[in-house]
Amino acid sequence: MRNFIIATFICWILVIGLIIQDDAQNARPSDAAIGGDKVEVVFWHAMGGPLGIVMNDLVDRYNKSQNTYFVKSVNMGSYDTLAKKVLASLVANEAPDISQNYETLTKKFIKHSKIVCLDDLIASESEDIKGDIIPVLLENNTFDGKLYSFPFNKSVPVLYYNKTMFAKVGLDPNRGPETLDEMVEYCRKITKYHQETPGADRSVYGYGCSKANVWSFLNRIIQCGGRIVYDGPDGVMKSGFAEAPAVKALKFLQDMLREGIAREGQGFDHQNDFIAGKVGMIESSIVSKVFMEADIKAFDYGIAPLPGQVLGAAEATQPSTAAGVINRGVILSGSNINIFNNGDPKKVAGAWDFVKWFTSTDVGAEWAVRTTYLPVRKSSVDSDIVKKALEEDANLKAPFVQLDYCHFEPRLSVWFEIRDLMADHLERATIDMGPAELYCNQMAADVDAILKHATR
Amino acid sequence: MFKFKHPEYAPVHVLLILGSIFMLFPFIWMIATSFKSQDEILTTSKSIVLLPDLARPSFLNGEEETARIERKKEEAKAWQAEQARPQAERNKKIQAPFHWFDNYLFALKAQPFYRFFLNTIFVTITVTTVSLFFASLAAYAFAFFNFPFKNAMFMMMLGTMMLPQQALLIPNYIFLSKLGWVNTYMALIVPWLASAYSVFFLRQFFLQLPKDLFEAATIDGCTRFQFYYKVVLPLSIPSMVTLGIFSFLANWNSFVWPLIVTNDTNLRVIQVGLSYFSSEAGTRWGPLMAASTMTILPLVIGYFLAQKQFVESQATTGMKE
Repeated sequence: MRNFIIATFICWILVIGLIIQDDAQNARPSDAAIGGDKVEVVFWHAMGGPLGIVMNDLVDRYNKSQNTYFVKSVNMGSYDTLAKKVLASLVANEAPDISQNYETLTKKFIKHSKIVCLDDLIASESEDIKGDIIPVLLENNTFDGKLYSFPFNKSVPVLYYNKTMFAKVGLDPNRGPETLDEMVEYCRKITKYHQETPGADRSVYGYGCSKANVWSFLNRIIQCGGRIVYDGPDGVMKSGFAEAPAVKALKFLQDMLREGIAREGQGFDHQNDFIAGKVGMIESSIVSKVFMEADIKAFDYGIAPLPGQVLGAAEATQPSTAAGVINRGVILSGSNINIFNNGDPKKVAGAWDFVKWFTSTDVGAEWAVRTTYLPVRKSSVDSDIVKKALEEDANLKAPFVQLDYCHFEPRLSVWFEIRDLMADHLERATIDMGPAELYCNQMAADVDAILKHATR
Repeated sequence: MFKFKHPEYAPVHVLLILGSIFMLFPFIWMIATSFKSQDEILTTSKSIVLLPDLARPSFLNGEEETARIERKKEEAKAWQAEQARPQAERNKKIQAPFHWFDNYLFALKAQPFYRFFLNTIFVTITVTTVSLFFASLAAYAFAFFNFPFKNAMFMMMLGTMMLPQQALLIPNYIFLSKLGWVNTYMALIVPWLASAYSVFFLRQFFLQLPKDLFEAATIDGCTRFQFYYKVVLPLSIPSMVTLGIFSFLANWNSFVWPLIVTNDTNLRVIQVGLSYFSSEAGTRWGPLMAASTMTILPLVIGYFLAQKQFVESQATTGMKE
């Protein structure tokens, strides 16, 4: 035991020495060495993997492009962790200067005056920045008529489909399904082929999805002509989950699972199944392309806009929906940037300078092309960088096509809580496989109980 | 000729061997996956085929494996052909062929795992040894001495075990922030130097030691600290080793607290490093398994080096003499 204790102590001393040596080897050049006293701007984000590589590259370029500010970007790993850290740091008065956040958190920050109103910063700009932001993204970040956050990494869901499999089963490999009914037919064809063809892999399904996927359910509601949260006649907010389009949206998934032409997995299983050629189609964020494409080697794949639904006159609950036309809809995902009011105007100015640079026409276009996130500016969409990328890779077109019918989730401070509740009901719906109305009514009742006390 | 001494124990041994395989299977899968490319991890048709393509004998390959191996050979040839062309003209979509160690290289390059290992070893050793020392002192006081409000203090200390870590996360963070310790080694180490569980565990063991021993030692001129150092500690080695193992593992696997209190990469620990391979849009299984294997390896090596002490501590725990 004495020898063990001595050995442990020696190991401890050795490790301390190695840490000191590592610190000395990797010491960051001082600001004076870089060129002057730069104002440090701390940026917390959740961009990991290939996205993090692009983020770090652009942050380095910004730092080298000017001598006034130094952006220190820190990856927190995941949005959930980032949110926890931001909240903890705000309470401790140690918030970063910039962070990525969802709209729900932005509302909380506005309520407690923790973030800077970007209108104040934009007012002094000669460029018409707000006029150049894609309208749905601008609306998504505007609260009570003011811009409190800036769109940063926004994405939309798209349909990934296996072109090689499509061709094998007799479907057009250059055309994804346009409607939900068509998607069901495609799934039936794919599954039937693999069940009945000798030598074919019987474990292949037409469609793959993840269990309790709230985002997918919300997209489907919009496609079926429904609504998510609206103001009731008595001024109290209500959910649209008990209405016919939501029931239809849930029933659509249940029917496919019941028929055995779709399969549900956990987390990112559906992406893995798609890469493995176990499912013919999945719906996932366009950003998943960056993570999947290097591993898709056995087949050719395509990306299409999400299918829509042809609505009858009685089904359309939204006035803008024309009966008989394919009703499409997708919901934005991704986060925005908040600039925190830490009391140092130089850091606020530095934060704004970085955000402005990052979302500028050319840099924003490059970020969009390299990561597949949507560009923030209309000028980025029209830029040569994006146009060239779309010519070289047709799979990048789908998100841009869907910009015309983009929506976003309700920006309520209770929305995360509501999402968790919805996930529970959706999970039960596909496990128990009872009538869709049952789960939708229960979901609506539970959500409405929360909405009753919530404010916009 | 090999003979079973006790053939009647054969069913027990068979059961234990099967149980061992069952328990070891996730580790075997983890190590095997760390040597596979991502498409191989996701496309293998036989889910129990563990050997990577590079190590599998050809007679074990099914149709899918054969097709994949042939495709990889073609891709390797295509890549070689591209390398012969000038850099500017090369097709960037053609990737370099996968080598068996690529996941480990990727994991090491993706994050500074060397630094994460050093941080983890430093924090874990410091917390384990110091917390054992403090816990043994506290347990000694609770077990051998009487002082005002002793029982109440012990109950209060036990009460702190009822509070979940998540509930204390933000208050502790604020406290550390006021001390200026956020993003320092102090935040990683100091909060864990006192453990109610360790005090409780050791106190229960110390209570089993005969009080006569203390009285006899006192009569012989032993001070309280000498009795602690010369009698109590040597007798409680099995318990200390057991507690040390628990503490070591808990600190080695600690994730949430280091993530919350550190911002700089050079202060992060190994579990935080592992989390970087999972993101909002997918998980890179190969590098994640490679990093996980590297994380577990020191624990396995440490176990084999200290195996004798571990076995002795399990055998003698609970014995009074």
